[in-house]
Amino acid sequence: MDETVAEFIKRTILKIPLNELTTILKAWDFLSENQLQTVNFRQRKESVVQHLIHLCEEKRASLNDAALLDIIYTQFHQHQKVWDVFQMSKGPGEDVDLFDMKQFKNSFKKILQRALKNVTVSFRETEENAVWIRIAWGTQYTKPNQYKPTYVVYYSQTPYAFKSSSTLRRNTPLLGQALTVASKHHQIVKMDLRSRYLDSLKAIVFKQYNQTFETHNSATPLQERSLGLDINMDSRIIHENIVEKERVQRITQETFGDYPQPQLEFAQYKLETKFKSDLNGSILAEREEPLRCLIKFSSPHLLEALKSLAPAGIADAPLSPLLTCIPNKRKNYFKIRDK
Amino acid sequence: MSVLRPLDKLPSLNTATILLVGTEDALLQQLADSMLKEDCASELKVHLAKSLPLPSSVNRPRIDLIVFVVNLHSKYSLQNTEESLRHVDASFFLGKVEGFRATMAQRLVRMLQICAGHVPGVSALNLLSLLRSSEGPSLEDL
Repeated sequence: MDETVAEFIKRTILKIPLNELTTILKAWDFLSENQLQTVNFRQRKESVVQHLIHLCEEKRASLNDAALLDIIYTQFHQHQKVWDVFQMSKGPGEDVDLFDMKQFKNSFKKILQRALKNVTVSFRETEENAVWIRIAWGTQYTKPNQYKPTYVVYYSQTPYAFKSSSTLRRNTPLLGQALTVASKHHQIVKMDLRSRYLDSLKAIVFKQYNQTFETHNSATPLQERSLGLDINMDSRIIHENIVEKERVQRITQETFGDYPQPQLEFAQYKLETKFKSDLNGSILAEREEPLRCLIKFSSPHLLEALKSLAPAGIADAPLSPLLTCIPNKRKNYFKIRDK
Repeated sequence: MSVLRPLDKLPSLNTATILLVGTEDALLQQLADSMLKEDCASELKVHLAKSLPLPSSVNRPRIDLIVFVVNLHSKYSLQNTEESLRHVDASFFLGKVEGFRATMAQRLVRMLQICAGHVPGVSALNLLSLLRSSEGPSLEDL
């Protein structure tokens, strides 16, 4: 086994938390059941790793096997990457061909290899006709860097692909080209949508987020549940604005629905607008050029936070459509200009 | 436009009613809970409202004390308080209280008892004139 491959596998296994190790190794399906049974997973991690490397050597693990392990690790830790969304389109009058996975993979690999000579391309198919692609980039003169790969998740029955954000941006046009040509599309465009949560991006892009899930709370009467707050049963406390509360709840429900919101970490608004003011003779108001500013909302779960603003009394309902349109418009990056 | 005036209605027996007005319901709820935990000879009733005016359709007891709860981080909260104040007669005003919730709850309960007339020797009218004069006790002393 090549030294670089051994090192690569070692570093990958070291990243895996001990409690996930058996699951991931089983998913990898490279080491046999018998081999895995010889490993004492309750040792110190370094010893476990050494033993596993030894077993990989026995089985002569290749670069491709190592790359596959890396894909599986990333599939288990999707949130460690930030994902961008790309949308492809066919040219006018082009027919919808039947998708051939084998042909796609060959074509994709060839395009990159022809352009760069040194590149490692690996694939792993998953459910929903999706394929995970891992690309380690090199140049005409240097070997691929296995430690800064790019991942693409392409849903073959759709024109959408999700790509992990990376610092090696010079390869993005080539990657886009390979994806477009191999999948028999004409054009690729980056959407203004980005998040760590691949599942949420999928839900937004494929418009699957608006399903009501049956939760254990559905047994409680709608009235009580929908008021959201803990209505104190103490009869000495009287709520005067029940009507207003109900109005807010109704509007919130109409806007956000009953279902859990897709998870996004931020929304960014780039403003290029002229200054507007009630005061006359303000210096800023006389300025001809638009002002530029950037507003960013951050949250561990932005949409749920927005949903709870009005019921918590922090904002009035209805909220600005600029905030509530995010899943519907499939964007969390906005550019606002004067009309 | 109906305006709340002090000493408008007759008091109910041994009951002191306070109205908390503010946008953040969770905060009002917490303050109400703290007040109700206080040791108090009078029967306390706490009304919570987001803003004034209150819905007129309800049959309501006399309100002895109104407290506006403002979140200083929120412009929305301040605006709401300003708009609600328009519905309260100016003579109602006693002062402001800042501080931790537990001590605030205690002070408010004591103030409420005075306003409801449950403290012998001190009446609500006394309180108004006491606080207006510069030699009088401050709210903190109560």
